[in-house]
Amino acid sequence: MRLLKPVDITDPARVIRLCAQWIKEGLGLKIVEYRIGNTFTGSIDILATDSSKIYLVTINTDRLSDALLGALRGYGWYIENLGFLTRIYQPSEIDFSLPPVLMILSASFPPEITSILRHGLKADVRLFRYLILGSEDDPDLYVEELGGTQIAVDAAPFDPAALKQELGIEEAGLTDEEIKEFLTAMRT
Amino acid sequence: MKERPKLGRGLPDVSKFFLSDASHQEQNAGEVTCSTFAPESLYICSPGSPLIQSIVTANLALELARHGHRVRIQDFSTSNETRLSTLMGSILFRDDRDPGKAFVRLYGLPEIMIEDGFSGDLGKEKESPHEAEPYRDDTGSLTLVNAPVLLDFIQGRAPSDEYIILTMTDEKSLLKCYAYIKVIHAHGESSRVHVVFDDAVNGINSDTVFRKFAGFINERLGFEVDYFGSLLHDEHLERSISEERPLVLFDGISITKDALIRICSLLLEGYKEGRLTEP
Repeated sequence: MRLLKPVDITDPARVIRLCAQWIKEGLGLKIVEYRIGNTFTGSIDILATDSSKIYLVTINTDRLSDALLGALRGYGWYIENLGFLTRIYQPSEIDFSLPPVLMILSASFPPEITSILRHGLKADVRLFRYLILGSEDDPDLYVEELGGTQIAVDAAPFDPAALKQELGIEEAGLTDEEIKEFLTAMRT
Repeated sequence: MKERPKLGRGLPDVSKFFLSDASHQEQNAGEVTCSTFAPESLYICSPGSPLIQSIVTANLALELARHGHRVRIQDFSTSNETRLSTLMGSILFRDDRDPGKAFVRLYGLPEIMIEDGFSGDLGKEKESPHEAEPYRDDTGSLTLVNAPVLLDFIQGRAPSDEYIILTMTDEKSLLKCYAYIKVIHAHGESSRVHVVFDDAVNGINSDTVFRKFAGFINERLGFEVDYFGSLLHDEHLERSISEERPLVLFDGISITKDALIRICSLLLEGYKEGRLTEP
């Protein structure tokens, strides 16, 4: 028996590469492009397709709220720029007449997310929760598609000591007051 | 019949370099004609993404070589994916007699030497870091340190002349970056720190974020950090990783390549101004 422990890969670029590999090999989708659009008007982490749909993939590596907003803006950008995209890609690469699907991968989702999105959006959405296991040098990716109900991840109250530990900056000697002042300065 | 010399390794790559927008004078290989200051070390650090850190190191090494600087890289990457020998794999030359080293030898450019930080002499340095002089060698090379993202690593090494720190612009990443800058400044007060925002759009938002960030550092720590702009990611960056070929060798249009070149230009401008001599 092999026991796999969750591993925290903090490098978003690595997480995106792992997920891209799963999209290709696990879901069998063809990746057409990475990172299209722009941050001002919306962007898509990965543009992928199969014979029946186009997938606009967003991979959350930090805050889900930012990723959700990014996914929706990316969807808007895609709809508004469909004519442009049709001109620059060959039909053999991707068929833009196929219906688009928003695909969001995240390490965690809040409760009732599928219900919220189903009622709030007319776009098709598929949500996948990923878990990275093994070791940082040799990670394994476990992905499951979300059904109707999922486990909640509670937002913890602000705790400077826990934040220092999470970020691995205990040795920097930052005081709790300094952290609070920093966050206040960045928020104003 | 006398055998004609063969064309140098990587000639096509270099021809593209020579067609770029850098001035011809700056491209005289092997000679540093434009600098009034010759720093010994440049430490590249990305607390949020070791992969991006290694990518910047690889591309910066080539850009610096293009401007005539001899470059030595100390690579402390801990995974195959982020190792310089992987990211520069398509242009790498290995010497079987010295497995701890690899070289990039492009026609017309000074040689770039890559040392595995965890093997050989460098590994010994790590055990007794305060006694070592890790940045000096007898060739006058500029040493780029692609270091593990650990505060105690910074604290355990001799202070570097300069640091480039890459950070994302969310609160936690900026706080982590601030912690690193605080440690760097405490470790060596004359070191210069340059900040690059990883994948943030240049413009009002990132400028505002940097102003707040730099303002807090100035107020709290009493020194100034430079802003080297934002490193946007495009599809060519992804391709350069999978092709193991640094993006500055790509001859098409790429916003990421432009950002990498700009970072190097800003660095070299600092050398021209000689500002590091009087921090």
